[in-house]
Amino acid sequence: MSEDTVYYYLDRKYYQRSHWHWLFGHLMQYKGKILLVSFLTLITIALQTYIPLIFGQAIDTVIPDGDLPGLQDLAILVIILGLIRALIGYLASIFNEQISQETEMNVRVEFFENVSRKKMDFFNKARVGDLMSQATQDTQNLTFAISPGIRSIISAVFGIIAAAIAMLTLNVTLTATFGLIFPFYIYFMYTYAKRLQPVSLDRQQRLAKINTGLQENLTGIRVVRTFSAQEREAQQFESQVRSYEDVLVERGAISAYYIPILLLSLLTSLIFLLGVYIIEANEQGLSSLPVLGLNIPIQPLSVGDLIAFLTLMGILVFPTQILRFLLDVITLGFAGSSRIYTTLTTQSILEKGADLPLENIKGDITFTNVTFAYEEGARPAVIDLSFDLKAGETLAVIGPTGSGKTTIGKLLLRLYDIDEGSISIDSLEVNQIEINHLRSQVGMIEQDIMLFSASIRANIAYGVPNLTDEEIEAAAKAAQAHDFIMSFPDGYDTIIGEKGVTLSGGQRQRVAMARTFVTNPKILVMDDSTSAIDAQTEAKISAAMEGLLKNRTTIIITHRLATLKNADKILFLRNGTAEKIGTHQELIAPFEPYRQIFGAYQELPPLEVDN
Amino acid sequence: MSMRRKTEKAYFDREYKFGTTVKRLSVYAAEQRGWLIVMFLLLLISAAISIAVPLVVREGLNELSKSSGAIDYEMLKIIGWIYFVGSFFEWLINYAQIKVNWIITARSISSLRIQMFSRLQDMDVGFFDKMETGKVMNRVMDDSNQAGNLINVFATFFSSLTLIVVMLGIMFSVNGTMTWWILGSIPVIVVVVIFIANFLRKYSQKVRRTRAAVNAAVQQTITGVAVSKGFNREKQNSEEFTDLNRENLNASLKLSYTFSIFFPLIDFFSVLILYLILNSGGLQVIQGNIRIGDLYLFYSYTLRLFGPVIQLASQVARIQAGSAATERIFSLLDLDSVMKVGSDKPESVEGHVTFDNVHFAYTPDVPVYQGLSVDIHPKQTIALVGHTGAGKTTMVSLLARFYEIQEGQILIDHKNVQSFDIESYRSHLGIVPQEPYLFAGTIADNIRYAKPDATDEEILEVIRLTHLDEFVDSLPEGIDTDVRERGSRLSTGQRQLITLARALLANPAILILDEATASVDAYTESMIQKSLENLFADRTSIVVAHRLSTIIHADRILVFDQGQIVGDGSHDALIETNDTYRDLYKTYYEFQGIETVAD
Ligand SMILES: Nc1ncnc2c1ncn2[C@@H]1O[C@H](COP(=O)(O)OP(=O)(O)OP(=O)(O)O)[C@@H](O)[C@H]1O
Ligand SMILES: Nc1ncnc2c1ncn2[C@@H]1O[C@H](COP(=O)(O)OP(=O)(O)OP(=O)(O)O)[C@@H](O)[C@H]1O
Ligand SMILES: [Mg+2]
Ligand SMILES: [Mg+2]
Repeated sequence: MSEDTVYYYLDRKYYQRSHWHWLFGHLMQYKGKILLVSFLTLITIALQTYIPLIFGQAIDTVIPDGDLPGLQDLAILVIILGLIRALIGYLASIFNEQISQETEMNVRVEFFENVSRKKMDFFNKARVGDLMSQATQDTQNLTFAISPGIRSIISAVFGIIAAAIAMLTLNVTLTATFGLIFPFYIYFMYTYAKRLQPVSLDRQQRLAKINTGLQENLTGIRVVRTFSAQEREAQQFESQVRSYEDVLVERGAISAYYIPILLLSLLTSLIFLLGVYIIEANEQGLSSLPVLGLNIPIQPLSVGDLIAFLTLMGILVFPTQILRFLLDVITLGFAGSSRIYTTLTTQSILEKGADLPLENIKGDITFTNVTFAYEEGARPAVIDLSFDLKAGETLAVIGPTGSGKTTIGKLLLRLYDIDEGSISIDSLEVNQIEINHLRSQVGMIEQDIMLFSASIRANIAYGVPNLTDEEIEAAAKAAQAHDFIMSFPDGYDTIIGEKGVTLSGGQRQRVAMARTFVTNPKILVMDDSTSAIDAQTEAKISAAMEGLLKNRTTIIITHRLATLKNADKILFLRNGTAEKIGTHQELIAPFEPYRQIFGAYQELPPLEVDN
Repeated sequence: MSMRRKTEKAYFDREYKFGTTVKRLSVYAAEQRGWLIVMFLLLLISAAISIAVPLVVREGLNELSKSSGAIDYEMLKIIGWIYFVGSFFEWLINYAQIKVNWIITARSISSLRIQMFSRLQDMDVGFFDKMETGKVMNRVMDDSNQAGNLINVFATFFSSLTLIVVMLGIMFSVNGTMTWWILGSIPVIVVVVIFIANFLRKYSQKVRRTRAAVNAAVQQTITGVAVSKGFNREKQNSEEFTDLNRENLNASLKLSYTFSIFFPLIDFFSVLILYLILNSGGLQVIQGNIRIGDLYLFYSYTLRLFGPVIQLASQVARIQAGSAATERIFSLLDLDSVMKVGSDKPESVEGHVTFDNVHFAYTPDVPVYQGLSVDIHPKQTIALVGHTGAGKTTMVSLLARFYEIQEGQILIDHKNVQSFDIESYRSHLGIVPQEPYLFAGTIADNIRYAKPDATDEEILEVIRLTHLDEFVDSLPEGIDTDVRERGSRLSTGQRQLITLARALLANPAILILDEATASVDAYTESMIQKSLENLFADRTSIVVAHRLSTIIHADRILVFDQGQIVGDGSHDALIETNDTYRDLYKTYYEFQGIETVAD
């Protein structure tokens, strides 16, 4: 799972052209099964046409002849063939389902893996609801397209070919008429698909929009309530749902309008009329037919041929209907696949480095003239920042809100690539280090705690699967989390809500701390990780951490001042630049902004220490 | 995993009988009554046409192929033209039918979605603590889609039934005994359908459930992507995701396998009947009991009869398979919010807050409050302090009416909050939650969320009060900067300040700040405090903070310990008399290392 290499689920060549080609690549993984399904389908088609013929034979010869044993033979034959047809049909549909549903799954897994490797920039801009919609709704449409697709295409194509050959052998004039109109038929289908295409995409986009709105409403449910915005939210949701409804109806109308069966019926009636005229002309001994003043040469036609011809046209009804349905679901599937494909091929990866391994590190950190902006053209969040930290040292970072403290941690984890300067660990540049190695050495307790809806145990063991219970408990104890966890009836198996909502703010932070402690990182970044914790608990954590922090390089981002005194260095950030680096003593006397922060605390009434 | 499923199941999903499902679906069908009737008529007409058109053509063919006498070409030409015009007509009917079909489906889906959404808006917050967002979304989006497609059944069912009756009538008029033979096979089909349908229901329940899990996994992974990167979890996440998908795949394959039995089986039935017609009918012809033409008619009508019978059977199957989706929808719609609400809409609120012997537990066996009582006078500034997990935020949540208490009462201006209309009650509160949450949209949009008709001036004013102005001015687009989902474009402190500004804009009678400035540096915090002094003066304010410097000047400090108020008074009084508070303050004081500054 590297973030600096483009991820290809399929062979690379399928990503060069278009989403059709990519989808084709996915289907090609099942070539064998597709061939098998085609073969089985052909057999069922053959049986499908053969069984009625048996009936015809019975009516034409066996029954009039009074051939009783022959009749029974035929009846048994019908049953046997019927059974075979049912079995083969069942097999074909089983394989068919396997192809389509496995493809759906593969696409979804590919999507998931691909998206997981994208860098943070991508997620900053993407909407969760939209990505969810692509991962589930758009992939599902693929199944709807592929599942009837394979079998129907075979039935339709073979139906048409067979009918066409049979017609040609019957009568050339009629076939020529048919052939004249056939291009229209194709054109008709083509315009149908073409009109359906943009509407299908629109449909999927509006669906994604509902999804996005819903996702935000549900995750922000407390805010919605706090401001009594339910009504407003419901109206907005309704308008989105209605707009989707409109596009469904519109699409349905297009789909209905282009029923190609009209063309076929009209054609049949015209051929019937033409046939009648030809037969009439034949009877009058003419060899050409006057149409609009022109004399068109005709081929003699027998009544039986006309009937047969019309019957054959009847055979075309089925393929035609299927084709319409197929175009409908396939355009929808393509709309989905084009959305997915766009996301898949969005280039959002970290720059490729040398992938140097980083196993046993000391933990020196150097920032040299680092400049970084989240977006091109935006004001950089970190500007020309330099500092260095020896292994085992502690750096405290303070500064006003938005000054770039969290950004430093993110850069160290290489969630983003910097624009200028360099960041190195043990004098290796971070972008040259294998990314998983880097991240397993750098542990960060984020400012915005993200816990997952799972057991507390699973949350703590998030970064290191296969931990023993002792290890988990030790970390929880260090983070002062063990006691409250044990106070829950289910202890470590308590399932917490999404984002950890069923814990108090301070409990969440302590679980997150334990989660990082178990990974035993050489470099630890604590981003304001005690903001929701009372001073007494914090003091206990500090004490427990003293042992923990030994031999680790630590960066503590904080608004609390307790930590500052013990830090080897204090970095005062403002607007992304280091205004001052030094020890507490060095900063407190001459540096006004630093004093200001302390001043706020100085206003506290003094504590009378009674002995 | 299994544990979660258990809670979810107990908490949530119910089973509904087939009859109930149909009955409840018919409510939605009734909404579309007009279109459904149109649909029914269209179906009948198109069936009639599909029977009539071949008849006309056959008439023409018979005329052509008649062995004696002159062929009537004029009549044939007329038939040809009738066919020509009829085709247009047939197409028109088809067009209308497909269109109406979509209208009904689309509207049914919409109405299910809208209904579920507004149900969700009324649910107590506890519901969302237990349910994963992705799973709830799955119900609203995916299950509604499945169920919406079922509504058409109400038209097609009756048209198939009508057709079957008509066909049977014709067949009976030709030959009674043979029709009975054919009729005899129908119960067999019914039994088989019911048998298979049960499996369909079971498997599709599993499909729905696993699909919801897939959805939830996508949602959680995407929202937690920074964490999974930091912990190198991508590989394991994708393995887990693949497993979830496999589970879903297996369930849906099973469902498809069962569904796929259906058509070959029915197909085989039609062959069986063909066998009957051939064997016994053929015999009868040979014995001279019926004529060969009748046999032919029987053959073709049986085939036609099977169309509607198959349709009918597959509708039953579809409803059964769809009932997995409808059950999930109905379970959600039938879920009652635990909130007790009245209809009083207080015009204005003075801000007197009373907790009277309040008992509360989030989960039944883990009480948070066992008899909490406190009386807060209007326009006071109250601070809540205490260890983490002591129950401070819980008090805020109860005041906000996110959860319902189990015993005792909460009074606002001496009136029980349960007598208020919940939304108009909340409009008198302004809350800055411990976890800042912003929506995708501009800074202005987010602040304006509290008061949709606020002017830009008002917004700039609250931005100034929260000392965000310098930051906002530094942005090229100012207050029109898009903050993105969850406010991901901002730093945590900036997010917090915007939620604070949002609450201030609401100008509430009761202002609650739950660690509203915990992620802001002490200096900015003290500046904000100064500028909010006036604001605090004329409303009841409840402030939760671990940073004691924030709350030292509060009128009253409530000290929480394990769900109890163990201290109540001003800082000066508490420091003298209250051990818990003194300890808290002492550690805080020492821990901040303030002595060092003193020299
Ligand atoms: N994902 C992002 N996209 C664009 N800009 C961002 C993003 N994250 C942060 N910023 C901007 O970069 C600047 C630095 O943000 P950072 O999160 O590093 O601040 P901080 O010092 O940690 O602040 P706080 O004390 O509030 O946590 C801020 O002005 C912020 O608006
Ligand atoms: N939604 C919830 N579901 C179940 N239990 C909860 C929920 N919210 C809080 N709790 C539990 O209730 C207790 C009190 O939590 P509360 O959030 O009120 O604490 P707090 O005093 O605000 O703590 P902090 O200072 O850490 O924010 C805790 O033990 C917590 O685990
Ligand atoms: Mg930060
Ligand atoms: Mg709290």
